[in-house]
Parts: sequence; C-alpha cells; structure tokens
Amino acid sequence: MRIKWFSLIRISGLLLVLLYHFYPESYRGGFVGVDLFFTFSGYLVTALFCDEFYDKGYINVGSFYRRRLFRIYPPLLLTILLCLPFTYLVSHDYLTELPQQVVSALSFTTNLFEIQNGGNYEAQFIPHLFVHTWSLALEVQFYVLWAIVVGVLAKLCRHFSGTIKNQTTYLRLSIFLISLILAITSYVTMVVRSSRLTEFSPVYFSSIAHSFPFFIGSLLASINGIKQVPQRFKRKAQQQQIKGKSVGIFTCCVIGLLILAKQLTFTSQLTYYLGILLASLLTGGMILSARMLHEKNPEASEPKVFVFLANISYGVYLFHWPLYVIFTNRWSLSQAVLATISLSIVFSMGSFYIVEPLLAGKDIVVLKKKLTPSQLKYGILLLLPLVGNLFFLISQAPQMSTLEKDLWLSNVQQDVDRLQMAREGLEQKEASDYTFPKGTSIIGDSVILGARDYLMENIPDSFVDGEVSRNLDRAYEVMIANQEENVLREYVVIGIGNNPQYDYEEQAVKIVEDLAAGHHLIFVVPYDDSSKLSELVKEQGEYYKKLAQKYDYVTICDWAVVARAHPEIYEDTDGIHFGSNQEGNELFTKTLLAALQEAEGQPRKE
Amino acid sequence: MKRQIMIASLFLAIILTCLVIFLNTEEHDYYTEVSFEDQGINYQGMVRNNKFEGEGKLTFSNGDDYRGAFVDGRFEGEGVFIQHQGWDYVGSFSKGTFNGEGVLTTEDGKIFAGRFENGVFEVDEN
Repeated sequence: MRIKWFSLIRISGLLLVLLYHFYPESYRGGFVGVDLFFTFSGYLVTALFCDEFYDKGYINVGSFYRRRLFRIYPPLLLTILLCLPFTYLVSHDYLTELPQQVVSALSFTTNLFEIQNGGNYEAQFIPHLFVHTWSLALEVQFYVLWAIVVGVLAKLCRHFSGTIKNQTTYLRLSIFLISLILAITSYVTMVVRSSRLTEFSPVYFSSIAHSFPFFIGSLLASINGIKQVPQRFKRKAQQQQIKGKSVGIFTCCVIGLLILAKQLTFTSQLTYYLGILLASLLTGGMILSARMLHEKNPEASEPKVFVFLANISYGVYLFHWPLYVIFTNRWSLSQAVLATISLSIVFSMGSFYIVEPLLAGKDIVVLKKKLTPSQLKYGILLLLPLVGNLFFLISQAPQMSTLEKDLWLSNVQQDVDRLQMAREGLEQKEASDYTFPKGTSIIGDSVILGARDYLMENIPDSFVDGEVSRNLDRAYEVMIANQEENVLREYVVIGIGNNPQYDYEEQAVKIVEDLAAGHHLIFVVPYDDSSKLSELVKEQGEYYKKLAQKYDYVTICDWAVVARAHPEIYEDTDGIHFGSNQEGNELFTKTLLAALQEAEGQPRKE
Repeated sequence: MKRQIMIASLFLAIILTCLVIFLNTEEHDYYTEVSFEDQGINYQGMVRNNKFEGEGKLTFSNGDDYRGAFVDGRFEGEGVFIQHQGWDYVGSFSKGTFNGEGVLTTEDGKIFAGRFENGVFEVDEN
C-alpha cells in the first residue's frame, strides 16, 4: 500500500542534507535531514511489520532482510565503484584511509569507524569520501536488531487467544512500550553524554545515543500505522476542513525543520539536548499529516515529479557526497554543485530503474530495448574494470595525508623550539625598553603551522606557535600565557581565521584589549574560497580591518587579497593550506614582512 | 529465484568479509624505524595510528635528541631531552614541553631541579 505524500518526507530530508553540505554557512544545522530519514524509517518498517502480522498472522524476518538487502546494497556498491574513478581529478590525499573507509561502508560500520577516528563532515582537512554512509550504517544496525525484536514479539503475541485483530493489538501495544523505553533510554544517553563533550562526533555517530529518532518513528507506527489506523483517525479524516489543516500542519513542520537547519550547529550542546529530538517530532507531524491527506482523498494522484525524486532520493544521498568533495576541489562552488547534482541524479536513476530491478529478477525496458536478468552477465563485465580500479586505489591509498603528516611533524619541531624557549626563559634577559623579548610572536592555526619552518627561517627573531583547529578563543589563551611567562615578543601576529567562531568579534576585541602595553598587533586576514565556511571567514577578516581602523597599534596583513590573486599556490592542496608549496610560503612571508614593516611605523599599544 | 539467492549470498559474503576485516583492524602498537628527511627527523620506537606512541628515540639533524615516552606523536610522560648546544633535561613532559618534576642542566653546569609548569621553572619560595 503506497501512501501518497510520504514522498515529500524523503525529499525534505534529502534537501536539508544537500543544503547543509553545499551551503553550510547558511544551513549549518541541515544535518537534521538524516533524522527525518531515521524517524521515517522507524515508522515505515514498524508499520509494515504490523500490517504483515495482521494480514498473515506472522512476520517473515528473512524476507524483510532480503528486501532491504536488495534495496540498500546495490546503490552502495555502485557509489563506491562509480565515484572512485573521479579521484584521479584530485590529489592522492583524497584516498587517505580508503581501505578502512570502503571496508566500513560495505560492512555498515562507518559510524563506528568515524568514532574511532574522530571524523565528521566539518573536519578541517580532506573529509572522508564515504563518511556519509554513517547514517546508512545506523539504519542497517536498526533494521537488523529491530526486525529480530518485533519478530520475537510477534511470535509471543501469537500465543494470546483471540482473533488476529486482538493479537495485532497486543503486538502494537508491546511495540509501543518497547519503543517508548528505548527512545527514552537513547535520548537520555545522548543528553548525558553530550553534556560532557566539546567534540560531539562520539555521541552524534553513536548507535545507541542517536537511535531515538527510529524509536519515535516506531512508536508512532504502533499508534497510527499504514493500513491500520485508529477509528478516531478515520473519523477525523471525514471532517470537511481536515485537508487544509493537514496541509497546514505539514507546512508548519517543514518550516520548523528549516528553522532548525538555520539555527542549529554541529558543535552546539542545544543540538543534542533538543535539536535532534525536535527534528524527529516534527517528522512525526509530517508523517501524520501526510497519512491524513492520503486517508482523506485516497484517489488523488501524486505529482510524478515527487514520486521520481522520492525514488532516487536514497541514491542521490549516496552519490552526492564523494562527488561533491572531489568537484569542490577542482571547480567553483556553483559549478561543483551543478555537476554533483546532475551526476548524482543520472547515477541514481541508473541504479533505481535499471540495476536494482535487474538484480531483483525483473525485466525492464531501457531505450525501447527489453533487458532481462539473464543479461546481467554483460553488466558484470562492465563492472570489472571498476572493481579492478577499486583494488588498485586501495593498494595506493596513504594512511595519512601529506598535509596531516607535515602539520604533525611541524608540531614536533615546534615542541622542540618551545623547549629551547623554555630553557632561555630560565635566565631572564633584558629586552627592549619594555620587559619583553624583541622579535615577532606568530600565533596561528594549521595554515601557519604548515608554513612554520619557512616563517622561522625568514622572519628575524620570530617564534611561530601554530596549532591545528585553533580559533581566536584558543589564540587568546596562548597570547595571555606567553605574556605571563614574559616570552611574548614585541610584535604579535594573530594568524587565525580558518576555524571561525560565531563570536569572533568578542574574541578579537579581547585580544586587542588584553594585549600588554608596548606591543604591536598584526591580524592576518584569512583566505578561504574553497566553500564550507568561507563567508564566515571573510566576515572575520573584514572585522579585523575595522579593528585596525579603530586602534592605531593594530595593523592588517591582508593575506586574503594576495592569496586570491595567486591561485597557483593552492594547486594540489585543499585550497586553504599552502604550506607544501614553496611559492606559497615565500608569498605569505613576503606579505607578512611588509605588514611588520608597516607596523614598525605605527605606535605601540599605550 | 536461484539467481537472487546467489546475488544475496554474494552481498552477504562481502558484508561478512568486510565486517571481519573491520573488527580485526584495531590499531596495534608496533616498533619501527623511520626517517623524515624533509624535516630532518629520525625515529626509532613504538608507533600507533601512524604517530609516535609509547617509548621511542627521536633524533634531529641538528643533533637534538629525545628519548622517552610519546602520546599521539608528542613528548608526554618521562623522558630525556639533550640539546645539541649542551643543555639537557631529565624528567616529566606533557603536551610537548617540561611539565612536572624534572632536572634541567644548562650548558655551563647550572642545575634547575624541581617542578616545571608548561615549560616554566617554579621557584620554590621556601
């Protein structure tokens, strides 16, 4: 039984996820799209189990697994095989940890793999190509366990006397109670665990903490299923204005989800306390109103475009991420989005309308030509080079990207330099007129860390203190600690901005105001045109310029302008870290030296 | 139907094989000797997750030398650092620097023995 308008739920979930991936600065909470999928899956699977029990008097768990396997696995295999050839367009670093990624995607354990590695979509470096299969992993884990639970409950309910209708009522009641207990347990786990975290990947990817949306869906299905709905629901469907009300509720839920997509962030505690729960409840509202619309007018036809988009939504979800990650490295954001969407739709259509029916033993017609399952062998021949390519790339994949390795080794060198600095600090030295050392302290993030060796060699009396993922908040702490230890040098360079905070204004003002008297302060305007948080990075850079206008001891090193004019220094990089490029190092150092020279002519902080 | 059973079996075989591989690829510590020529770093010791972890010896091309404990690729735990210009430190490290009890001997033999906090020697007021 196909419920019309359910397609809109799938489409809404997919759109939220795509908006989050393509325009994260505008839809930074769009990741709640997967919670739509989760809630809807929990509902659909449970409602179909109840219907099957009512119709047949038993639940065939094996048949359920087979249907799910044939729906889920072919697009997943195709995603891996068809997307990997595109990695030849980008640097070898995009293959980092490919064997582990493929193994975990194909065994539905990506969420566990990402917990082990601390990965997420907002990871600073090259993201994993198949990180998005974490949600598929969670979904399959739910299917496997939930089918067993409901299958056992169904067997137990068969022992109750009475009609099949009564037995179905017992089954739904037991599903309701178990779903309620599991939903509460899972939600409480998420709240408790997230309250102790600052990096939320372990709780976000958790099979336990992030499973309550499924149980909210199954709870709803136990009350209001697909074929079986309460009498009250049927009576409501007879009301005159119910259609308008249902459309209104559905629209309000969509608006609510859009607000969540605009307001939530991956790193905010509120997301884990309330955001994901709200998204699941709003999905519940969408499910009920869509179900009511269907009940009110079962004969109405659904626009074909909705059906088409819903059919390919799973495929688009799978294909879009690796393609997008690769294309954004080569092209502008709009070009990458266009290419990603086009190719994802083509691949998903191929999967849904050709490969999946053929594997399921159905005949299909492609370009007026009938294909039969027996012709599968030709398809397999076509796949062979792609399988060969997969094994070749796996054999070539590095364990650590060049960028990560360089940054880590720079960090080791930085630690040794700090030891030397600590040694020098044991015997206080006279510095300039003020009581701090001459020279330049450069406090930066991974961009600075990557260029550290070159900067220290070419900027006299400089000490570079860089750290991966450092933001203004942390830079402030480093500056104050250096100030207290009397090792902060005369010129202080803040090279921070590629890990922007939303409260950057407050943090930047703290740096400006709490810097001790006698120092010069230089802000490096960060450069990031490679998508992701580029708008926020630009805003932060513009704010630095305002500070320089307000305070005469603040100077600007406008790296953004220089970097934009020299795209060649970012060739074969992630578009942010130029440290592996000699020309990039030279250019950055030259720009910074010019800013230091300008600062020399400016007053010190009084 | 027979074909479908074959396909389903193939899928299941892939899933189970990958699951077995996944469960057996937990990161293990192992001993290695590695040189990073660009950075002038040579390492002999234990490694986990591609980074120095556990006991090891790190030598730099300028003559600096560290022997001791590492965590996540950085100096962490008990160790000895010998600087090429003649000073050395024996004691506790954390987050890459002197942290905890230690003894630093300068180039001219002066000894700073006691507690260090983030690289700063804490002078005993008593």
